[in-house]
Amino acid sequence: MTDSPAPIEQRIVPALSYDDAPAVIEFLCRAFGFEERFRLDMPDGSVGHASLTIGGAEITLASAYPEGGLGGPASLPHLHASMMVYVDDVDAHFAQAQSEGAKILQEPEDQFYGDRTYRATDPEGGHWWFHQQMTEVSAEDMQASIDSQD
Amino acid sequence: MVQNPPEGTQRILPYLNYADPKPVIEFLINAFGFEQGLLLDMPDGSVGHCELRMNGETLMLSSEFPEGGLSSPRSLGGVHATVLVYVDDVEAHFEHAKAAGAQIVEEPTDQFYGDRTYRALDPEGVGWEFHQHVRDVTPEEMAAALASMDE
Repeated sequence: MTDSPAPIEQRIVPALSYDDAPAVIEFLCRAFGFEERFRLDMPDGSVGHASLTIGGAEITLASAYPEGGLGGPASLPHLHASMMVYVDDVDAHFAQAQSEGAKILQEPEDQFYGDRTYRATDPEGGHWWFHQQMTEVSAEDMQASIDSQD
Repeated sequence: MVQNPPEGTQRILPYLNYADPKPVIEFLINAFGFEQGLLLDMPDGSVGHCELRMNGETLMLSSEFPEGGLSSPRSLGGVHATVLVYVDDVEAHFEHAKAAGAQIVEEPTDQFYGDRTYRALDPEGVGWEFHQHVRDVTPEEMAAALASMDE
């Protein structure tokens, strides 16, 4: 008997669907530094449930289930959700993702709200935003930046 | 002092897009118990960025941005992500959400993996799963339960 995986303290957990979940899991681990914590494979080769962690934080992931209205990102005309991930060193994370062939939507940039961020996609077109907070910016200063952009 | 991730923000969070975020924000607060955090309005009246908090964690959302490929699930005919939230008392959470008019997809049910869960939809069709962990189940027991469901 093996022990259950260590519990995760996180309360809000994104649950993602992919057409080829095994390939996406492999990519997320190799390019974005996730670790496979737990995985239940179905007899038909699909993934019933997988838990991936990065820095102790969790996402869950499963094979698409179109009968239940859950498709992979590529099966829909647009996305309705993106994943935001805080990493310790966003430039190092970017270099790793790029060298592993991740499609980069935006290279690392300092944002007006104090984070340095880059954006990349997974193999099915899901959006991932990697963030590192560099400076603290007040809500008033953020709103002023937005208002002055016009 | 800079914190990374910022205080009150977990390392991974979903960022959701909605066609009409203001009623959704109101719904998520009234029905699901989120609290309003940072809200940034755009000059055109859309929501540039909104943070909602629960139990020291954050969820983010904004108005849809179809030019950037980000739309409300309402216009997509399906979803590729749902949101799972662990709550302290899933029955009480369910009663509250139902009374507030949430569309319930599945009433509270004990799951084979040890959680008691219910599922509901927000006004634009995102699926939400509320969980309370009530029983520890080993990976072997889960696999056996899954296998027996397939028979």
